Amino acid sequence: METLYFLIPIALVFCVITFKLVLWAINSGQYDDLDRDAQIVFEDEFKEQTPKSKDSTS
Amino acid sequence: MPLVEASDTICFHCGESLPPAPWTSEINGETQPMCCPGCKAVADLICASGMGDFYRKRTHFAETPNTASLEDDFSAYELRGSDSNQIVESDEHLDETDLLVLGMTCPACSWLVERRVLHQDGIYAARVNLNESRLTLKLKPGASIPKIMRSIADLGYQVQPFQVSERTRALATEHRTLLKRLAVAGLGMMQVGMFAIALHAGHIYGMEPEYESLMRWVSLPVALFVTYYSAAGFFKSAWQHLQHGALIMDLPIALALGLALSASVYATLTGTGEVYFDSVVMFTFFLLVARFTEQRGRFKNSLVLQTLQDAMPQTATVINQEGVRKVPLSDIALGTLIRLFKGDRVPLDAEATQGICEVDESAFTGESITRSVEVGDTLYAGTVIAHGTCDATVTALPGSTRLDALERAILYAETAKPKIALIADKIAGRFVAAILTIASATAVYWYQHDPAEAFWVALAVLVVSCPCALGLATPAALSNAAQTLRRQGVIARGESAIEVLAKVDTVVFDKTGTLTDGTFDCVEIQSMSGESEQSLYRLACRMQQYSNHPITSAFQLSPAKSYPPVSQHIELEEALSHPSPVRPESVSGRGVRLKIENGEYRLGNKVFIEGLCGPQQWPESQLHWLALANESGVLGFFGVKDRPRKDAKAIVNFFKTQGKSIHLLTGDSSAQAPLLANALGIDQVCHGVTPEGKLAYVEKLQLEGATTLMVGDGLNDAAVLAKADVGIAVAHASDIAKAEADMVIMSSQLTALCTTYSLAKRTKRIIIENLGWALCYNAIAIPFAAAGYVPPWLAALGMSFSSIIVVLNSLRLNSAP
Repeated sequence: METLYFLIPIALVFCVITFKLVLWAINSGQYDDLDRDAQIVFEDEFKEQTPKSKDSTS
Repeated sequence: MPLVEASDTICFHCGESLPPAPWTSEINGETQPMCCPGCKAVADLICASGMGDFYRKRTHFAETPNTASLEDDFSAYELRGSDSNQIVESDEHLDETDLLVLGMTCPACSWLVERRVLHQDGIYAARVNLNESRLTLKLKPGASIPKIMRSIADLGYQVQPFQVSERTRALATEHRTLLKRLAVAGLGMMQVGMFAIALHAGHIYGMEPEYESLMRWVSLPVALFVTYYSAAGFFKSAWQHLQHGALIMDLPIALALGLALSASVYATLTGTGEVYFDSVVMFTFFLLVARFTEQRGRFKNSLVLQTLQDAMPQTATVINQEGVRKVPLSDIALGTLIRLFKGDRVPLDAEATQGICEVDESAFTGESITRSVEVGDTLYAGTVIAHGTCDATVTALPGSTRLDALERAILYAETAKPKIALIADKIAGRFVAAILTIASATAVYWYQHDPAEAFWVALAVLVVSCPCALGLATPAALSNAAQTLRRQGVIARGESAIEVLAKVDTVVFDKTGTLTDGTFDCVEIQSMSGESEQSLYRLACRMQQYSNHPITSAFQLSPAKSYPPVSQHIELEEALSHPSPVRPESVSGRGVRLKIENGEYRLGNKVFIEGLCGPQQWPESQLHWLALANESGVLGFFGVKDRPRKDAKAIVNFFKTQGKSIHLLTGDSSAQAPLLANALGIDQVCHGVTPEGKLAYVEKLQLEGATTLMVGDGLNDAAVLAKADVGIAVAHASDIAKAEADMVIMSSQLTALCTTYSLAKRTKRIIIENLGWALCYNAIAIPFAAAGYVPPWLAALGMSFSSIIVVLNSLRLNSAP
């Protein structure tokens, strides 16, 4: 059981790393728009057909 | 998820009801109905550029494209594009700019906009932030901002440069802060929970004191960090309110957190008693979840307010010796001559000096029939020129316009909003006082009989009575209710509105745009020339077909009916039926006229008609009358009235059966209001009132003790929406009305009002159940704890258990009614 004295501090180190990672991710704006990212995973399903006619404004 | 249920009776693009003869577009191989040329143009464009998949992926209908925005000219932004605050040079030698794109309703819209923009020249990257309706572009040299804006406007969205307001920036920061606190609390909860399971298991199966102490010592830093990082807000707000003598729910929360944490730290340091680190962290997490959900709703709604600020033009077209050019508003002095074009939003109050135009003042009056402005009349800032062009001299500068006066009225209404005491706040104060008294009494009693146990027993009382359940009772129910509402297309701003809504006893409706949908019906035709009424109607419809005045909605031929041809006036019939160079022309504020070889026909209002054929005897009934006439006299009169929304009657009946008193409050001064009220069964009508008058009316009701619900849509309703105990803005409401309302109904169905009200009542019941359970639990647990029968670990379990019951009970609100 003595191994707990070694393993738990390691767990805490990982905990600190996770805290830092999450805070960094939020601070860098990755979670600013929760609605769109919730759906972005479906984006591959959007199929873009080749335009039928040449678009005048592009 | 999908709110989009296409059917044959609504427009495939925007979900509006269809006119009798709808337009059609071919979408993904099928022919779909369209309600207007605007929708058709947009749908055709989307399909033609290969993005028809949009219609399969969308979860909401698109907004009806505004004809004005489809014709907008963005060339002015080329100049502003070179402005330093518009374009920022980013690292990779690319320019970056932000655009505000309004009308994006679902993720499919953001996909559509991004793809469309990427097809334009000079775009390196495009990314939509749906929360902020913001499109961030990275531009290669040579990209043309007006062209890009044009390409987005072609899709039916409204687009303008993105300007970040202070308020939005503050809310965005708040969003991040809360999310960080929530994340820290969540991660901390898992970590501390792991150690706590070991400790709880140790209580049951036995554990060596050495390892118990280890578990405590490792929980300590995590719990301390979480409390410091995530729970600090509760302590701060409790302290701030306490300084003003207010006992709010945050106080018992802070007290419980503080005491449980201090006791745990003490127990860890001395190796005695019990630790509650897991409860502290878990409680923090649950409370933050409730607050975060609420904040998200508020953030979304605040963006709506920003919209209006951005919609006001920042420049005016000035005429002086140097010619005609655009000048920033700040450089304009009183008396400057400005020119206003069709589609312009009037930037300042001004007096017309030349030209005739028609102004859409629906923002102020709620009236959808435009007002004609002649020389000497005043134009108000914020209104829109519907037809014509005119020159005007400036009579009021920004800050003193009619619009500013209205905004000040709104500000007043916001601060003067009556504070309805919420159940939880009422209970909080008494509960805190009671618990503190009981805990101190227990401590005193035990100190006299068994001093060693006194602290732990008193702590057990505090922990077992921990107001978690009480603290969660209201927010948990409200945040679940708000989520359910959001799924049904109703956005609640600040959830207390849901609680107040359940108490409402007076419902006040606005007329135009709320109970009516801004369209008209022709309900009476009087033939003066021996023609049949149906054939006269057909002529009128043909005359109106090139006009886009709101009144034309009354003149739509129904494919189901047959209209006999006319027996006389065949020349008119012929001129209208063939594609010919003669087209009826619109005359601002008057009507339409058609000149043919041997004469002239007019369809329009009294002034217009009598200008052609002299004074006439007009029908007397209370309708809005138009006439069709030629030089020799009137052919027929058409009586037109507001068309109530299909579900208006159902709504009024619903609130009537709920025993509410119902009022109709409208800016429309014609006799239409009483007529409509009569048809819908509303007893109290007040018509022809100014926005300030509306405010006073609701204030008077409130003084008489009524709890009011205001339902409205226009800018003229904004102040009263803010002032009423609950303000609900309906779909297509003006932006400022949406921003001031407590709730916004996004779907075009008025019946959402009924579901909202029912849900509010259900929410109130759940809150009372939650509070009842929390109080009941306390009533049983506290005496046992005070008597010393509850070991602290059991107290902690009881506290978590009572909270979980409350959370689960609140989850019931997530099911649709």
